[in-house]
Amino acid sequence: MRTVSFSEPKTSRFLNQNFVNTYRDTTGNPTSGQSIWHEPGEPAGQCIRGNGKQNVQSLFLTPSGEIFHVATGFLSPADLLEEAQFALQLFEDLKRETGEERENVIDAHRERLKSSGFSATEIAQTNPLAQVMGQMPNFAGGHLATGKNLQHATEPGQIFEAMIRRQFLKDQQFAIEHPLMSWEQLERDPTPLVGNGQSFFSSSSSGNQR
Amino acid sequence: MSRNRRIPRTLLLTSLAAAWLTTANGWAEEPTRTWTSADRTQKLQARLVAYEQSTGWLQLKLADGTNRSISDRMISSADRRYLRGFLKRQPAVGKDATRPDEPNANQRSSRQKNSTGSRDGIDWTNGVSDAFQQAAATDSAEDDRPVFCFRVLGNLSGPM
Repeated sequence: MRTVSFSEPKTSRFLNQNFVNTYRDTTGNPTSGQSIWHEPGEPAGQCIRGNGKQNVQSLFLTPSGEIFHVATGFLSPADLLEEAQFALQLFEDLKRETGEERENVIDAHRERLKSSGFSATEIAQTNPLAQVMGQMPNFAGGHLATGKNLQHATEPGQIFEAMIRRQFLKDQQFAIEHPLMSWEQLERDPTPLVGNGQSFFSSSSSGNQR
Repeated sequence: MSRNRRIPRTLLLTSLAAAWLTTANGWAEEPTRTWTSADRTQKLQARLVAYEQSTGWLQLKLADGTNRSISDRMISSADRRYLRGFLKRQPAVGKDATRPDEPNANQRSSRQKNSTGSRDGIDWTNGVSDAFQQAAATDSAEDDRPVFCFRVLGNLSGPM
């Protein structure tokens, strides 16, 4: 993303004009994955959206350090711009409608899933309190439609599409299940966002593994 | 002003009693109220028994007498406001320190630019705390800006 997404003028201009930008190096964090590292000037390799979520997270926060939107893994310039545009709109909505910020974060992400073609059943699974209270039916598996798509996907393009779809769903789920999680809480325990797995990320065909 | 003033005995006894009430059962007894899930689809009648701010877990006693522990991330903004009020009503016992990265009023008013400069097209600030300070508007919350944080394995200016 450093050499591909941030360098695209339209995307970088939008981020510079509308956001205060910062980055956090997670080297040494046990939840980080592995990567083949390369120098800034080296050409980037091919990536698809969502590659290496343990290593690459785009977080959108309020000035108070509350996370209101996330996109994990690699994002193309167009994807990053789209995520930033969604985040900016949501942030402006949160400023206007004070008092129910958490509900607004949840509603916005549910609406986004809906407009992106996710089913009501998939969206309904993102109700944490209902699951705790035992008032929701038990669904087989965590991500029904995504799992279904993966099972039926046979072509490489379909498999990639299913992976991207699952990653997108998980990102929205995080915002729905952890609305306005604090930055400190994420730093203490990023597993709600990145899970317990270890992803491998390589944006270069040559380099050194670490 | 002298810091060695004698504390009236009645005030001291009252304070000790209040502290005992707070710590003996976790917290002083709260009334039964309706709790709402964060997405507003579920409601629950229960009384708050305890709340640990550092972990975000609260313990509720339901009408049938059973206890249920839930995370504060699962409840509505109104419920969280209730929790904040609840914490304010309590003595210092069990309270967490304010968040170290949250800018205070003085920090917000300074809002000086502290940037590591542009790299690969992006103007990066010097760390997350500085980003929060810069994002918080001086005059009005209307002018606040959101923060974009790229959380990444590696150094943007070096190998990654």
